[in-house]
Amino acid sequence: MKSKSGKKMMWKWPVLFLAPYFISYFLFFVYPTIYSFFISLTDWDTVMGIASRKFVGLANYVKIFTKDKLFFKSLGNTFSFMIIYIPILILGGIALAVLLYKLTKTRRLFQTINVLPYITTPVAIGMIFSFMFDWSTGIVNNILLKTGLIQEGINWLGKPFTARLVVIFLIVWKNLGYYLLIYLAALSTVPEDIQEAAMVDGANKWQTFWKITFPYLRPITVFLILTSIISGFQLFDEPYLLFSNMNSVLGGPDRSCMTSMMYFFDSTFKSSTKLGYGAAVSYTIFVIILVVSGIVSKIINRKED
Amino acid sequence: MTKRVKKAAVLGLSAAMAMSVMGGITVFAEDDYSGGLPSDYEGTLTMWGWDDTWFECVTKAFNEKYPNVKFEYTPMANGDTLQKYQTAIAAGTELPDIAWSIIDSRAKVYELDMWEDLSAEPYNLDINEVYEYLHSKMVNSKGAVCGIEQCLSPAGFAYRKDLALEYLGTDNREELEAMFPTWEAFIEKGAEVYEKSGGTVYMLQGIADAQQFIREQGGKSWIEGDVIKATDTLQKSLELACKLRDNNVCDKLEAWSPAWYASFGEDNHIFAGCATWSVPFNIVPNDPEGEKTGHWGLMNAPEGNISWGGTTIGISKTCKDKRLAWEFVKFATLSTEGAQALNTIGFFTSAKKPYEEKPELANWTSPWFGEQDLGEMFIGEIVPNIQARPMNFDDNVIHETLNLVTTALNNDSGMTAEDAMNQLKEELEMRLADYTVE
Repeated sequence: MKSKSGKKMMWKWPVLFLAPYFISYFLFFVYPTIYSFFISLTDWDTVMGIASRKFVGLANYVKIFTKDKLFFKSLGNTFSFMIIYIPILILGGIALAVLLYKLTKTRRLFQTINVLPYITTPVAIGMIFSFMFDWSTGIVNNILLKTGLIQEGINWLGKPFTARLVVIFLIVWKNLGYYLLIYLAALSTVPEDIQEAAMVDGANKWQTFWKITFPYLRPITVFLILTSIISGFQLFDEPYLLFSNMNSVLGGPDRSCMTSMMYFFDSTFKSSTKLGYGAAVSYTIFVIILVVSGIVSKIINRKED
Repeated sequence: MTKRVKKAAVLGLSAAMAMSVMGGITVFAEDDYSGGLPSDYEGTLTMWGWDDTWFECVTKAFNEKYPNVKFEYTPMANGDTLQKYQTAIAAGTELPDIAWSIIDSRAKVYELDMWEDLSAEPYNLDINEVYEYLHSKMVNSKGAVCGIEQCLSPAGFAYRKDLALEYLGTDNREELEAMFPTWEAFIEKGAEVYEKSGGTVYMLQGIADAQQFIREQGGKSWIEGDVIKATDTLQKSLELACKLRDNNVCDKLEAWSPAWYASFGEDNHIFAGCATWSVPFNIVPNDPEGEKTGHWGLMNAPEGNISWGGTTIGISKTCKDKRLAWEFVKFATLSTEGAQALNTIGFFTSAKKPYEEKPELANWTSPWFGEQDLGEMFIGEIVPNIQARPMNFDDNVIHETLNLVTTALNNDSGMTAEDAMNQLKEELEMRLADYTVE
């Protein structure tokens, strides 16, 4: 028999152990989230000081949706990146995983090689790519010139279309290893007896993959698509660093690589100091992520039904 | 009894006076910011900065005078200044005691409520102690002096003597200056050089290098009230950019890129913009050959020289020891001792007095420039003729937008100056919606 005070103590222990998490969660997530929404309803400009901060209601949001063409341009850029690189990553990840899955001796080696870019710091990647794709001294142009594929160097980072291609290539190169790892793990959950049974019934490799393996990978694919959309809207480091030298312009030529996060950062901390407007931009991006993720999730789940 | 008391009082007073004289170094008026500090003064100053060479040079010299003063230095990218300061203010965290401000974002940074006015009590800085062209760059919109330039940053043109002799027929400074009184003359000759070299030698590394000068020459403000004077102040710069591009006067190197830095050690560009800091930062590290050959020269740029870059140091409102901070700022920027220390690394302080007191401090040569006295040229010729463009709150946005348009011009040979101006206006209307763009 336990005493009453002992029972009381039993009740307190979980609270005590869970408290640090909830306190931290409240302090570092809930409070900043609510506070930044409040900021988004003000005209707070750090140059003017907090004392002159005024409540302006939804004026910042109205300005975003009625006047701010640059925000929509950045949003369009972000969407166009995602529409191209997410399918490449998903299909490339599956294809690589299937190829490596059956390897016995060299699988770990190839796995490591593919994962290395993923664990490399984005700063280094941005710098390396800006060197590689430099108009006059970059290794890419040098190789293309030496092999005779081009007659004069391509200004990869100086023209909107090629700059976008470089950003997409960079993102795919960096993240493919992660998708590969996830799909390799997922492939190990596909029951081999079902695949063998299909083979015995006369199914070829393609049919086995398409009818058995692929459906088993669907939950993982849904997870990867949704997380890719969320991280896609947060794309910042790589394109920012690619054009980070002193004379470069924000978002590259014609702002073709300016993502919505870059726009948020610039309008809040770089070009202007309007924290209120910046908070409204970040909340708008947050709502867009929520809506897009919800729509994509519904579409995928409906297909599954 | 009274006599004894008097005697004791006199003795006591004498002893006190003697002690104060003997230990005079520890007695100073804390409110008097005009005098120096006791040499055993103890204190710590914090700084966030990006110029390690300047920091090490000046603090080392300061520590020779005040060995008990400590410095806590946090490296910071100069492009992050505005963000770091404003987030520290918004979050209520500590600012550095000595706050730095780079020219690029200074107009905005100076509007932050964080600066001590150095022209007011108790500092009482007389801004006339500093070279005239810097005055407008040290003051915010309310007229407060928020900082003093660490060093002078006048800029002319550096040129490769060997290439100039080969392609322009002379390496004589005066003759070259006479050859290029205007940008038009520079463009005309640049086209000839390109042709003569078979497309391998250019006048400058990139259009942005020419633009750096063209935009700053004339000293016209880009903004007046709520009007951006785009056509009035920037049309010429875009027209010249088109001509520079069409005549192959400039190479296609992106300024500040690795290829651009490396170009200082190559034999493909005759000229390069050259501020005081360009010698130690751009030329010396990238052109090892130049030390032996001394193949660089410094001359006046076509249509005038400019003030290029610059960093001020000021005192933040949250500084814990403002007396010490002011002593350091004075030492680093206004004193002859500070100027002496800076002379060892080829920099010049922004105050006039050190060079009046010790004219030899204005002399400085570099093996890369042979016998030429760079100090004399920078201080004696370039500084007096600079027409500095006044700072405006949104200059950084205009500057960045100009870079966007210049990149487009550089990459599209069909783009005219008119197209460029239209793009510039469109972009500015989008980014600075509160202004009228003319």
